Amino acid sequence: MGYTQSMNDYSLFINSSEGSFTTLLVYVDDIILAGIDKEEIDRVKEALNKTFKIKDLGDLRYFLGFEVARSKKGIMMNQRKYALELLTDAGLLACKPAVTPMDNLVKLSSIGSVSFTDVHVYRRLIGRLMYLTNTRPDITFSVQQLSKFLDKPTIAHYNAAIIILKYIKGALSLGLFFSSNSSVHLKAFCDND
Amino acid sequence: MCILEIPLYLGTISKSSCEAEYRAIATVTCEIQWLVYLLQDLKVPFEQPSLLYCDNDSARYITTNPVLHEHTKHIEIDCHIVREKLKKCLIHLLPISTTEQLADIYPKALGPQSFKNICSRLGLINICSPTCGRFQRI
Repeated sequence: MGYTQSMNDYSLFINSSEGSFTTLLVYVDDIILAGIDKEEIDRVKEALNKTFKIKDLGDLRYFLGFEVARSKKGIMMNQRKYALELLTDAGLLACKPAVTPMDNLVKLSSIGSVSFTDVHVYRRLIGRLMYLTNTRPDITFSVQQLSKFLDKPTIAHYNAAIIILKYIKGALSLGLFFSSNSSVHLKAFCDND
Repeated sequence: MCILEIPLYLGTISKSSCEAEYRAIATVTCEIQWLVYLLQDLKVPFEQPSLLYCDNDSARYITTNPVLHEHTKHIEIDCHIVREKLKKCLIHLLPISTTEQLADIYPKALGPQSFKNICSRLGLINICSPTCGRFQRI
């Protein structure tokens, strides 16, 4: 179909010719098509439909748990539904929200508290929180800290995970906003602890 | 566009904080290089060089000053990718004050005030107005 795989992201396929630029982002059986040429996009859809029978979901709104909202001002990406499911499964929908995801005075360690017996529950919870960090850099640190204790979690660690959930409750639809009028300039901040 | 990165080197031991910072810069440099490649692939016009803010002065001096210091000779050679990329104008190293440091949110738990402050500057936005007016203090 004239698409070449990008060497920098193996699930990205690019077709670029004069006056047309189309990209194809593939995750197993989910595909995002983006480009400036509507005809080319329709052509790809048709070609894919012939071989695989695809379902066209129209404009990008929901992809792998990410909700995408677009306006003239920019693109908003959040995982509100995913976070909501997380809270529902934990039974914390009605909990009191917390201000920060982690108490800055508590130091977590692998010893000193009663071990948490439901190891799988803890592991699943942290795993799901990890996926949430895609659009939530604010909980990255707390989730990373808790993920260090996946093998032998204690009650203290589980309680800390509950605080993260309580924090998420307070700001469910928090997400990343990409403004359309800002220039593309990479800025990195580097720190170490 | 803002990209933040904070590598936490839990597996390695650095003799000085400067070396740790320098290693962190090296990792971030690699990440920037990848993003630059990706932007080129997607034909997105972007400003160059990319800016890398680092609050550790001595780590920044190592990158610009090629004179090997007694301690820095123990830094593994792959870390010196920073110098190479700096020469090629991929990145530009800049100092930053601790209060301006956005990456502060990654290596430690912060108090509510500074946490909220950094969150809003990270580009984290709540599209729905907050449904909970009162917060519980933890």
